[in-house]
Amino acid sequence: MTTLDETDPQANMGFQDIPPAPPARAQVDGKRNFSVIWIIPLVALVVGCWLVYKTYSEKGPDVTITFKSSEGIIAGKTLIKHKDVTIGIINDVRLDDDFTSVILKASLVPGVEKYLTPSAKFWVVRPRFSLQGVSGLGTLVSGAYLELEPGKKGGKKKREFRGLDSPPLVRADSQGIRILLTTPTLGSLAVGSPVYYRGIPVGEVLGHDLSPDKRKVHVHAFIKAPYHWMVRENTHFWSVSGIDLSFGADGVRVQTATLASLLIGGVAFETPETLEESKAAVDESVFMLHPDRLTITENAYSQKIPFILYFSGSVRGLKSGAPVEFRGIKIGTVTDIKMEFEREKTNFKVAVLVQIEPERVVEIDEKGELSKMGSPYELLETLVDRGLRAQLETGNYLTGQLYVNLTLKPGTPITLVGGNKRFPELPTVPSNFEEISTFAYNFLAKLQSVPLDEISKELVAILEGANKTVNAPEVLNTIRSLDEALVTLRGAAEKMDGMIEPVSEDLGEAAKAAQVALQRSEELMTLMMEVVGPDAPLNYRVMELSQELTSTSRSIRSFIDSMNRKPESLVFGKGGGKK
Amino acid sequence: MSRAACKHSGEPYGSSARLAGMASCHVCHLVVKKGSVGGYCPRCKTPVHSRKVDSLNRTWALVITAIILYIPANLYPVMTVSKFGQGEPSTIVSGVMHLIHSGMWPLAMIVFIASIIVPVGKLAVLVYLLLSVQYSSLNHPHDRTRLYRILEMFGHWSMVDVFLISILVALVDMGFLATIEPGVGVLYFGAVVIITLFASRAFDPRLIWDVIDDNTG
Repeated sequence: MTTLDETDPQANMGFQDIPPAPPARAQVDGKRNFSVIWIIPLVALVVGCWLVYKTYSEKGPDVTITFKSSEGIIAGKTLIKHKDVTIGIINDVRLDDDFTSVILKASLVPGVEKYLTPSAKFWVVRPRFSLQGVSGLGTLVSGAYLELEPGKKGGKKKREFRGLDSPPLVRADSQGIRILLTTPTLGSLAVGSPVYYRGIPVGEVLGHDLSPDKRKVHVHAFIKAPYHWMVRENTHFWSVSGIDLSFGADGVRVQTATLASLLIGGVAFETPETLEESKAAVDESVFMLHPDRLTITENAYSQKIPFILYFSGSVRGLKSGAPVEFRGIKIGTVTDIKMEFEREKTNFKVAVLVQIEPERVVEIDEKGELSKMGSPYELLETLVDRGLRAQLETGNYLTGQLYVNLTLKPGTPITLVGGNKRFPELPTVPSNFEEISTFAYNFLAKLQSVPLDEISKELVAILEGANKTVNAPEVLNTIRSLDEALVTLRGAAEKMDGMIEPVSEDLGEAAKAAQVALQRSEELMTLMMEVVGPDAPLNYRVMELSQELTSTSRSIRSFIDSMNRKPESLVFGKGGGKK
Repeated sequence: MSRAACKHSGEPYGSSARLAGMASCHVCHLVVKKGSVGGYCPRCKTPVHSRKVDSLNRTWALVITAIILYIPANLYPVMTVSKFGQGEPSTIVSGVMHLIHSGMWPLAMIVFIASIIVPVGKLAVLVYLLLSVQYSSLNHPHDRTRLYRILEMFGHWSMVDVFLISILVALVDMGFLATIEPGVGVLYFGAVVIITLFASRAFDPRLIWDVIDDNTG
């Protein structure tokens, strides 16, 4: 257009003498309005449109994934993979409005849409070190990435996901069944704890949560194919965590599963042999997780009748779970112990709730065959009439643990407290120990009523009198003389002892000889009397002689005296001139 | 119109060759009277035109092409720098941002000027010139001519980016340690630069003065 305007004035204005070539050229110019040059921008436009179309057609779905933490995730760098094939990239990492979690925006490759259903899962692959092993070491170098587990095809479309904190233990494509185990406590079970069947690890614990009523723990586990056929409807599961240490008559028995289960716990299961084959368990079946293998049999009794027992004495040592025994056989369990207080009477009593498992007792008829059991309540009522009483007994003298013993004590009164409306009550009697202590108490109480004070006063007076009598000097002297006499007597006795023996031998002869001698001496005495009697001449002469002798001896004495004084007088005589 | 004449401001400057019906041969620069020899140079038989043939149309077409191509040139990555097997493709803008974040301001400025200011500026100037000629603007013919000269001058430097990437790709090829790979964007960018060059070549600055000549004459 403009070129036309240009050429026309060019032709008209100025040099008219120029031959009229321009009109032809002007036409050519006019044709050039649709110049081929415009193909270039057209091509560019087509290329651009194609690029736009290609980009949009190749653009996969955008998803939003929420994580608790964005550790190791970088916007524009972190990839999303499945089976190590990159299928997406994180475009944006940011916090949510209340800063509690991280929102990742990711774009995925086309073709993933149909797997983005509610069962699809995202998690971050990082290096993980656990007792089960080490995983994700490659991410130490390459950095963390997100793993997508595709959901089931054909589900509802989903674009917003909540990322898992840890990788799911069971991949969607793995065969097997999921089961739910209920247990009062989790114990040492953890995510990844193995499930054993006859010692073979056949599954894993996937996770756990509280039951809706918050009273039990639900443990989710997965049993891999082909072992999931071993799980039947009557299969028993028990925990094999830790060490099973039992003391028995045959010694100490220690049982453990694998070392791994010692640390991270484990679950074992077994299907009991039954006549009819039980049906295979379906997905999401619910089973009870027993604390150990022994309790399986205990829990096999489904019928449990609660009874309440009231004890007036101490129940120290009685615990929930303590057995209820009848003649040494466990027939029930203590399930609860509570103290009850009556304000009006200021009375404390201990309520013990027990569960009797009547199935533990087998009823037989007269022929000795098993028969169907009647109502256990009626039976117990009759038994109570016959004297069935509950009594606390010491089960273990070391630990002082008590158990409830049911005994037949006919004649004891049925004492019912009757405070509980919910449970029937069984009468109790005090324990044996309690009886003894009651007796001892009564005895002591009687003893206390004796007037010991007065008795002791009397006694003191008596003792004082006795003391006086005993300590009197006469008594003392008597005792002393007695003592001496006794000593003398003892001496005499000792001497006698020495003499008696030889004498006694010759005593017979001696006696005879003595008799003879006595006769002779009698004769001799008579003669003697004649000789020396007062009238005898001998006597007179003897008298004279003695007089003579006396005077003689006097003379001799004086002689000796003078001799002593004057020994020379013997030679020179008495005269004494020289004096 | 010669450059010397252009520099004269506002002064009347005699007649132009076009008004005189004269034209210069593009190849041998023989001045011929238009139409006298059927539009061909009598000496070298080259078609003779008073002005660049279909200048505005061609320039417009090329400018529009360049503008269209400039979009993917910016959206697609121009190169991928991989270090230790890890790398991310970067576009022109993200490359500039990366350089700024790395503290390499001068380099960032060079890349920014060469890759964004210059191409965008060239296209903008061309569009302005085209529009001014198309709407027979009489304003600032000198300035517009100067703009065109600057445009031509910068044209030589437009390929800095493309060269940079080509050199880097050739130099930085250390296998796992570091590798630079060109991206698709560099193709579009190269196309933009080349098409812009052609566009500025297709534009005839004498058209700026033709309007004034026609109006004054």
